[in-house]
Amino acid sequence: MKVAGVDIGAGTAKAVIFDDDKIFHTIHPINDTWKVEAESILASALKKANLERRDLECVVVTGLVDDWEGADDYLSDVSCAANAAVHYFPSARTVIDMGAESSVVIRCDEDGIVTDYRANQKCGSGSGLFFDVIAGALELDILKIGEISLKSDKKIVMNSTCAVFAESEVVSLIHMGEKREDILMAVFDSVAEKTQALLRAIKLKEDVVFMGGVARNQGMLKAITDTFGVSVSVPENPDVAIALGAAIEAGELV
Amino acid sequence: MITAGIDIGSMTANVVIMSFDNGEDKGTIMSDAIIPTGADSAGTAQKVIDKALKRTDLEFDDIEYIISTGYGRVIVPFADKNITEISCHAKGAHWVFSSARTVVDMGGQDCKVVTCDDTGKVTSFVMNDKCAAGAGRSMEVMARLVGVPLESVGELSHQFVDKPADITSTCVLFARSEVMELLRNGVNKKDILAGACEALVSRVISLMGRSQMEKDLIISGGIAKNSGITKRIEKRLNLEAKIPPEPQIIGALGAAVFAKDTFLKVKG
Repeated sequence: MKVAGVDIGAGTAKAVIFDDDKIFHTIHPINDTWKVEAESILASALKKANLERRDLECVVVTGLVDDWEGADDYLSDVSCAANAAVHYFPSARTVIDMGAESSVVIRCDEDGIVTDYRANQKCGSGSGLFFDVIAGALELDILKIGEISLKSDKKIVMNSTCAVFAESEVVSLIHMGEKREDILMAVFDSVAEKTQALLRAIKLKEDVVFMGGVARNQGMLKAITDTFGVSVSVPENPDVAIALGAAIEAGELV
Repeated sequence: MITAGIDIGSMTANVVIMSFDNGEDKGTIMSDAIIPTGADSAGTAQKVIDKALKRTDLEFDDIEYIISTGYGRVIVPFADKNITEISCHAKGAHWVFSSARTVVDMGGQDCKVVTCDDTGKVTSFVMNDKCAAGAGRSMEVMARLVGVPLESVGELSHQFVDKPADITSTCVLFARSEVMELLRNGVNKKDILAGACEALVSRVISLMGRSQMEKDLIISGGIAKNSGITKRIEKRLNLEAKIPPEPQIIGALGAAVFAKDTFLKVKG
């Protein structure tokens, strides 16, 4: 069976192809309109898999575009996340998905069916973009902030959740002489606390899976693990997990 | 009598130096200065007051009483006293326009709606304190995104070609991505700026809805220089707002007037 899932996120486009038992995935940043990016990410995944579009029996798209003509069907990113979580970890019952703009907590059953979820739709704190702002204020590479934060040995409490306010707070913490690793961990702790508030509404049930691009951040993973007091699993390629969930759906449709 | 008010905001630091004949008079503004707030608050405070002094024949020691205000008011080493910006904005607006009853002050990070009585005393206030949506920062972000100077946003926003673009996100971070996608889809920059102004004005109007707004309405803060915002507020509320000649110094001005009152009291 040959199927594909395409995920158009706010920061990156992702595609996953199932070619029988082989899995191919691609990811690239969004530079063009969402539909153009959907075409091009699928094309690059096809190239990697050495397949043609006509070889694919079904393509499911998820994320920001629900009307892309290149797909056979659309499935919400929430459903895709649950699909992927149970695929990676069959015992998964709670999913935390943090992407460039999203911060979603999901409860699902053993079949990967969503039973409840809460999304942070109005506020960007906790999303990848928020971490971009913080990394910018600290003049650090976004890909390094997780690792740096693990050196933290002092607890600081952040007062602001809004990205704009937090940016100023971070600048004043720097001027107060606080170390950047401690500031970063304070930011991650504040995001973990916000996520915990979302989780309270859906009642956390183990096992917990953390996915989305932010799940690559080791510091955020530590903050979540410490705040929730449970162990948290992260799939191998957390940023393409949603696209993989879309590919699973495509397989089921076939 | 010479007094000064110094307002250390999140984006700019402002000073007003005033002179009074005896304290019974209204007083006059001798000098004012605006500089960006630097990382070092105490240093910024010194720099901005030095800049204002340079425009006069005065020395620092000639100033008899100094009151600080704004978010950095506690870190001004030479201030004799500090007062919240809420009180100072009402006082300053009332000094400029005695008919002032509501002051909308829009700065870089916050938006405050202050109502006052006929003496400039605060009667109520509301502000956005958890989220920057509705504050001036979003205008900076949008200006940079579409590639125009911040000062031209207002004018360009009135020249929209088709219609103001629909920008639905509350959060500045999300609105930024939303606008990036609009730009990629070829939406006109002026339509985007018009849409961004409309969105910001909607937030301000809803904040005003929570206050006991009365006429006359004064708009102050950096955003008062943006006609894309002020004209739209006037249109939505169907009234004419009053805008001070230098809207960014209203907090510092109020602090300088308070400095006169306090100094007279202290001196007995």
